[in-house]
Amino acid sequence: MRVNRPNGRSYHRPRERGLSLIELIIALLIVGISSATIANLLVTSLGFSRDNAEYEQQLRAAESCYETLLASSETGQWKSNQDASILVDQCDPTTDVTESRLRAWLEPGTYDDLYKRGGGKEAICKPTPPRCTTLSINGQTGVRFTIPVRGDQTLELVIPVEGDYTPNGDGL
Amino acid sequence: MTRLCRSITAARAAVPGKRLHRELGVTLIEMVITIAVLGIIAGFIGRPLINLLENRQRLNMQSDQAESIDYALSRMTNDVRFEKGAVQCNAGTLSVGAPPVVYQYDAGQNTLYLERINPPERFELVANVNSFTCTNVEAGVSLYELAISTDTGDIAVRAFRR
Repeated sequence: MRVNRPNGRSYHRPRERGLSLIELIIALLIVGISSATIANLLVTSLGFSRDNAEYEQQLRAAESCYETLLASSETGQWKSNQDASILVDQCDPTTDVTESRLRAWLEPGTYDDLYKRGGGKEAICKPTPPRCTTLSINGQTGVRFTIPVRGDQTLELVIPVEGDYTPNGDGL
Repeated sequence: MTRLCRSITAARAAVPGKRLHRELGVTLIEMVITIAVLGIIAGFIGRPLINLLENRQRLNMQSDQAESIDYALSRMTNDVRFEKGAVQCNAGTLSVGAPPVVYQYDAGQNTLYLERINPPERFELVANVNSFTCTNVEAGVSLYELAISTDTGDIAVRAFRR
C-alpha cells in the first residue's frame, strides 16, 4: 500500500494488515490437501490389514486341505488299496483335484467324513482346490499334490506310492 | 503498533476527509466467509475422517486379536503334529504331551489359556473369544480340527498327528 507522507514523499507500508481472504483460502486448501493425503495413507494401511487377514485365512484353508490329504494317505483311505497307487494313473498328466474326483478316489463314505465340515456343508479343499501330478524320485513312484495359497505361493505334499507300481508300462 | 498508528494518522492527515480502508486485518465479512468455508470443509471431510480413525482403531484391536489367534493356533497345531504323548481333545480343551500342555477355554472370562501342570503355570493366549473347540474329525484317524470363534468370525485349522 502506498501512503503519502505530509512532506509529499511516499513509502510502502510494511505488512501489518493481518490475513487477507485469499491467504486464508490458500491456508485452508493446504490443510485440505494434507488431510486428504493423511486419509489416503490411513485407507491404504487399512487395506494392508485386510489383505493380511485374508492371506492368513487362505493359508489356514490350504493347511487344512494339506493335513487332510496327508491323513488320508497315512491312514490308508484311498480306494481299494492301502497306498496311493490309485492316484498314479489319475494324476498323469497333471489333474485338478475336484470334489467328485477326490470322492471317487477315496473309500466310500470317507470323503464326507474327512473332507467336509460344518455338518457337511463346507468342503475342506474347495477354497484352495489342489492339483496332482505323478512323479518319480530315485525310482520311487509318488504323487504330488500342489495346494494353492495365493499367487505363486503353494503348499506341496508328496505322497509315496508303495510297491513296484508301473501303470501303462511307462516306467512310473 | 505505535508505528501503525503513526502511519494511519499520517495517512489521514495526507488525505483529509477520506477514511482509510483495508488496513486493519480481517474484516467481519471475511471472517464470516472463512467460517462458512471452514464449516463446509469440516462437513465434507470431518465426519468421514473421524469414521476412518475409529475404523482404524477398531481394526488395530482386531489385528492384535488376529495375531494372538494365529499364534495360539500355530502353537496348538505344532503340538498336535509333533509333540510326544497322548492328545486329548474335546470342546473347550486340548491337552497334548506328557507332562501335558493344556489349552483351556475359560467361558467365564471368554479367554483361551495355556496351562502347564509341572510347574503350574497359566498364560493368557487369546482374549475376547466366544468359543474354542477341538474335534477329532474321525474316530481312528489322528486328524484334529481346532476352531476359535470371535465376534469377527470363526477361524479353524486342521492338524494331523505325525
